[in-house]
Amino acid sequence: MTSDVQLATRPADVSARDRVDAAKNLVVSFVLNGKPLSVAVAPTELLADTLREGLGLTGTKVACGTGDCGTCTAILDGEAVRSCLMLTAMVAGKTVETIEGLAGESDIHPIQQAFIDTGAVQCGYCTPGMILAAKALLDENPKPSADDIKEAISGNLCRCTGYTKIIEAIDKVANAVA
Amino acid sequence: MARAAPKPQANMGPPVPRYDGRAKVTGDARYPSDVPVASPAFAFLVTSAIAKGRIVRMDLAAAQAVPGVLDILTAEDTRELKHVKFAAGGAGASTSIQGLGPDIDHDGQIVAVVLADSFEAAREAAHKVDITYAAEEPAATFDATNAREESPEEVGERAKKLPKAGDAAAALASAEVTIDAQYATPAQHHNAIELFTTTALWSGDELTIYEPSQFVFGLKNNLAERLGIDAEQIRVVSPYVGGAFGSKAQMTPRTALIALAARRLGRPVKLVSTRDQAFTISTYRAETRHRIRMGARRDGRITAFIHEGWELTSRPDPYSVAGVEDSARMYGFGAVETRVTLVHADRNTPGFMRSPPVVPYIYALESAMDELALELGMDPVELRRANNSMRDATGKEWSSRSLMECYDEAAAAFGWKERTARPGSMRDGDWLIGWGCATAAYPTHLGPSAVRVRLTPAGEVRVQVAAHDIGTGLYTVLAQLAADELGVPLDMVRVELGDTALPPGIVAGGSVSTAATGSALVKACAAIRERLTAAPAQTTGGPSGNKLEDVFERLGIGAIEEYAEFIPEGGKPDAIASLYKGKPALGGGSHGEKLMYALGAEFVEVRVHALTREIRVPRIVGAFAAGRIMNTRTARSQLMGGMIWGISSALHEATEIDRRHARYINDNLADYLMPVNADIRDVEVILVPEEDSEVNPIGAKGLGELGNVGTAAAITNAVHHATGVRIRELPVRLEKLLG
Amino acid sequence: MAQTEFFRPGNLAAALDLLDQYREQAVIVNGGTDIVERIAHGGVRRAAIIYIHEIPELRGIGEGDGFVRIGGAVTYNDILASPLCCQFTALEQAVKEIGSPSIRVRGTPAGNLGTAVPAGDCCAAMMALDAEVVAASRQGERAIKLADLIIDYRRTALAANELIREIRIPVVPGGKTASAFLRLTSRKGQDIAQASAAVRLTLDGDVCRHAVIAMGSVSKVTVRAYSLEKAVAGKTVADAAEEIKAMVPAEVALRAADNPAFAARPTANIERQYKESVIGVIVARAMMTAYGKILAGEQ
Repeated sequence: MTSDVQLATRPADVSARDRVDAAKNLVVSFVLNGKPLSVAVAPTELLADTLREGLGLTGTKVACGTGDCGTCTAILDGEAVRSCLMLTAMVAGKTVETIEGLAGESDIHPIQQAFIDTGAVQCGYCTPGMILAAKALLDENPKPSADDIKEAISGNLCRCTGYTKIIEAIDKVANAVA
Repeated sequence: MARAAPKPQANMGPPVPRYDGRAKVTGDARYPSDVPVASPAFAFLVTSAIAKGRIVRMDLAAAQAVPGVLDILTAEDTRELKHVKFAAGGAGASTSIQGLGPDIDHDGQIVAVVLADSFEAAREAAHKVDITYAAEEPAATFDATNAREESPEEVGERAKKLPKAGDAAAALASAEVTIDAQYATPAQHHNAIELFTTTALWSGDELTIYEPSQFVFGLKNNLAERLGIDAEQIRVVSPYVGGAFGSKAQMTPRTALIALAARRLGRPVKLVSTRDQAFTISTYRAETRHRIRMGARRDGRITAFIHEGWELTSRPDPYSVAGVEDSARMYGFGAVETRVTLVHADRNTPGFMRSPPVVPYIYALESAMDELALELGMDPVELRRANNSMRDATGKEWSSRSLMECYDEAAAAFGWKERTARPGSMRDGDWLIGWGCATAAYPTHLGPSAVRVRLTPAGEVRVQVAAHDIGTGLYTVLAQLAADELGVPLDMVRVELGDTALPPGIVAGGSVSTAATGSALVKACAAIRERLTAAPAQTTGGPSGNKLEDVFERLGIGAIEEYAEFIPEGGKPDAIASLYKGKPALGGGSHGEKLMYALGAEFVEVRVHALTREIRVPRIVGAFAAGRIMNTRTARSQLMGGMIWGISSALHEATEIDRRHARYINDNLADYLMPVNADIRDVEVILVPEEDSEVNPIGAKGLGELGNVGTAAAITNAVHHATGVRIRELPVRLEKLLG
Repeated sequence: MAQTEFFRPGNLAAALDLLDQYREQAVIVNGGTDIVERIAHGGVRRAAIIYIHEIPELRGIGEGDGFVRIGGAVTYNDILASPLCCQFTALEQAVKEIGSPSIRVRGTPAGNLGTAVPAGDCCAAMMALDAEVVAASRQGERAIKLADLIIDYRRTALAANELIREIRIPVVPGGKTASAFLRLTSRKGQDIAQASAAVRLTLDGDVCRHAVIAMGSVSKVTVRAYSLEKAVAGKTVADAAEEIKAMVPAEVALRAADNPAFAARPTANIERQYKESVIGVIVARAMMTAYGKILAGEQ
C-alpha cells in the first residue's frame, strides 16, 4: 500500500512498512489530468492547496474551506470530490482531474461550451466546480433528468445566482450527446 | 428549459455570448489571488475575540516559535499608517476603525497579521498568538441598553434632506382607511463566493496590488493616502472579480496592512482571508426597522404616507441607506413624511450590499401596500394601478415609468386572474397555496467615465477602461457596443478592464457601469468615425475603396486611438479629475430634475405545508422595464439571479447575532443559508420594452440591482395569502408560521 | 509540537497497531469529510494521521448471523448502491439526503456515528434500526449498541485505540416490519436537519407489536424515544400516530435544554417551540410511511 507514498529521502531504517516520516517531505504520486506526477507535500496539506499553490492550477478555487461551497471540486477516480476536504496524501495512486484538464487539444469540452452558450457563467468563480460536478454526473449518467442534474450540483453554491441557466447548460449537453 | 436568451424586442440588443465565458469555463481566468508571484510570504489575520474593550497584553512568543514564521504585525508596527476618513461609495475607507488596537471596537477586528513562509505556518502561528483582553459589555444591535440612538436634533437634520410633501399627519387623521404597521429586516452578508484576498508586490517604490475590487481607482487613491505615498506609485489590478455585491467597493483595513508587510519583508505578501473573517473584515447589510402609516380613500387613492426607518451602524460611522428617498416616491401619494434614525452599536461598519436602500425600504412599502389592499378589499395589483402616477407627492416627474405595463405582463404570464382573494382559500392537499406580488425598483444612477479606444486598419478594436465586470457582463456589453459603433465583427474587439493603468471608470456600484462606461465609449467611437470620414476621398496612386485598410492608407496612419470622457448632464465639470483621484460622483435616481428608476413587478407562488409549515417557492415571474436593454442574455442573467437573491433574502438569509457578545453566530456557508439549486424551481423573466432618452446618451437604466428588490414582499404577501399569517420580520422561517 | 506524520496502513492489523501505539496522539481519517477540515485548519493536531479509508477489510458489505454488516470504510454511496442496505428504508432515506453528492462519495456511516453530532441523520436511522457497532482494537473486539455509543456532543464510548470495524443492523424476520426516515430542513440540499425522525415498525395484525423511534436534532445527542415506544406498543397505527403527536412536545422540551445549538441564539426559544410542535408530526409521519410500506408488502 505504500508504493505510492514515498519519502523524499528514504531513511535507511524504515522499521514500519507503513510509516512515513513527516519531518521529511511527503512525496505523493498520482495521475493529474492524464499525466503521472509526484509532488512533495506536508502531511496536513490539502489537495486544494497543492493544486493551487504547489502546481499553479488556479482553476480550482477555495472559498469556504469547510466543504460547503463546491468551488474546490475535483474529480477523483471519476467521482466529484471536495479538494478542500482531502489531504493530498490521500490521493496517492489515484487519478485526479481539474478544470485545466477538461479541454481537448482542439477545443473546449462540450460542457464548457454549453455553459457559454446558455449564459451559465456570471462572475465565474463557481464555474469550474460546477462544470466538474456536471462532468462527473454525465460520465456516469449521460441522460440525467432535471432532478438528477439538480441533485448532482446541489453541493455547489452559485451566489450570482445562475442555477436555472446552469441546469439548462447541463441539460443541453445531455440532450445533444444523444 | 429553452428560455436561455429572450428574443430581443424594441430597444434591446442581441444576446451575444459572454466575452469572458471561455476564460471562465477553462479556469484560465486569473482572479487576483490566482496571479502567481515569485516566492510570496503568506499572511494570516488574527482577529479580536471580543467586541468591546482593549487588548491588555499580547504574547507572541509561541507564535514566533512556529517554524517558518517571518514577522508578526501588531498595533505598534502600523503607527505609520495614516487614518483615512470613512465615506461610503468608494470615496473613502469602509470604516473608521483602522487601528489594530489596543482599543477594540467590534468583534473580529483585525488585531495582528502573521507572516510566514507557508500558509499553514501562518495559520498555525495565528492560532498561537495569545491575547489578554479587558472586555466591556458591548451593544450588539437594536434595543441593547448601551446602544446609542441618534438625538432628535441629528434625526431632524437628516430629515431636512428627505422627502416631505403636504401635511401627512393631518391627511392620515382624516383618511377613510388607515394602516399602521412595523417591519424588520435582518443583517445580511454578501458572501460572494470569492474570498477577500490581497497580494502586494513592491518593486522599488512602485507598489502593485492584486485585489478583487469594484473600484480600482478608489482603492489606489485611498491606499496611497493610508500609506502616505503618491498615488502614482500604486497600481491596482483586478481584471476578474468572483462576486462582490458591494463588499469590494471600498478599501477595507487589510490592504494597507498587506502592503506594509510586503515592504517590511522586502518580499511579496499574499493574503487569502477565511470565510468567517469575511463577516467582520468588510461590510454587510445592516438590520433595519420600519414603521409605515398610510391613509387612503375607499377608492384606493393613498392620501397619506408616513415612513420611518431605523438603521443599525457602527459606533463611529454614520452609515445610512435612507431608502425613504425611494419609497416615498414610488406612487402618487397625497402627502408624505419621512424620517430615518441611526442606532450606533459595537459592530463593524455596514456598507453597500446589492440594492442597499431599496431592499429593506421597498420591502416595507410593498408589504404595507398589500396590507392596505386587504384592508380596502382591493386586488393588490389594482391598488398599485389606482396610485400609479407620473408625478410624486413633491411634484417631481418621472423620466419614464412602465410599472403598470410590467404588472400587466407579469400578471398575465403568472395567471393572476385565477387567484381567489381570501387567505387560505387555495389549497392542494396538505399544501396551502399563496399568490403574492410586489413592485421592484432601482434608481437609475448617473456617473462619469473615461475610456480609450483603438482601431487598426485590420479592424481590430481595443477598449480600455478601469471599470469592472463583477459578473455583471460589462466585458460583453462594451465589446458589443464597440463592434456596433465601429462596424466591426464582435470577435475583433478586445476589452481590458479593472486596472489602474487604464483610463478611470466608475465604481461598479449603483448599477451605473453600463450607462457611464457605455456613454464614454460611444463618444470615443464617434470621434474615431469622424477621423475616418475626414480621410480624403482619394490620394494620388492610393486606394479609393471604403475598406478600412484603404481609408487608413489614405489617412497615412497606422491606427486611431481616441480617449474620451463622459460627464452626465448636470454633472460637475471636474467629475473626471475627481475620478482620477478616486472620488466617484453618482447622481440620478431621485436626486436630479426628474425621477429616474428601473421598475418591475414580481409575482410568486408559495406553498406552505399545513402541518410542518415547510415553505416552497415553486414559481416566480418578474417583468421588468429598464430603458434600453443592451444584451437580453446578460440582462436575463442579472434579473434572474436577482430574483433568486430575493427569494433567498426572504426565506433564508440572516446573519444571527449573539446579543451577549455582539458576535456573528452563523459565520460560515453551512449555517448562513443561501438557496442551493434544488430550492430554485421555475423562474421567468419578462423584459418589457421601454425607451428613455433622458437618463443618459445610451438610454440604458441599469438593472443589476433590480431583480432582488420587492421579492421578499411578494413572498411575505403570498405567505399571508396562503396562511393568513403576516410576517413582518424577515426572514420567513418555518417556526414563525405556527399560528 | 512535533511534526505530524501521515500513515496509510495496508490492512486492519497494521492500523490497529498504529492506533495502539499513538492512542490519544492519533487521529483516524476515514472519508475525511468532517475531520480533514479540522486537521488542516488546526482544530485537531495529532502526532499521527491514520488513514483507514482504503483498508480492504473495512470496505465490505455482507450478511451473516442475522445481521447486515457494513464495513467501517463503506461510503454513503456504497450504501445506496447496495440492495442489502437499501432493504432498510430508513437507512436509504437518511443516506440519500446527507450533504451533497461529493460528500456522499467520501463520507461514511461509521464516520457519521464516530462524530456523534446531534443532527447526524445516519445516527437516527441506524438507531431506529437497532444497529450496533463492532469496535476493534489490538486487544480484541466488542459490540456496542448505538444508544450506548454516543454519550455526549461529539463524544463516543470508543477507546482511544479503537476504531469502528463494522456496523451491524439486525434483520427482523417476517414481512410485517418496515422503517422510514424523515427530515425537515429550511433549504433543500446540504442543510442540517431542523428535526429528523426514524421509525422501525413491526406489526401484529393492525397493532404495533414493536416500534423503535429515534429523533435527531432535538438534543445534544441523537435520542432514542423509549417512552414513546412504550406508549405506542399494543395500539393501532392510527392511534399510535395520534399518541405520538400528543406526547412529543413534552419529550422535546425535556431534552432541548441540553442542545448546544440553542445556546446564545436569539431565536432559541421560538426554535424550541417549533421543534416541540413539529417533531411529533414528523415522527407520526415516519410511522405512517413505514406502515404504508408494510401494507405495500415491502420490507
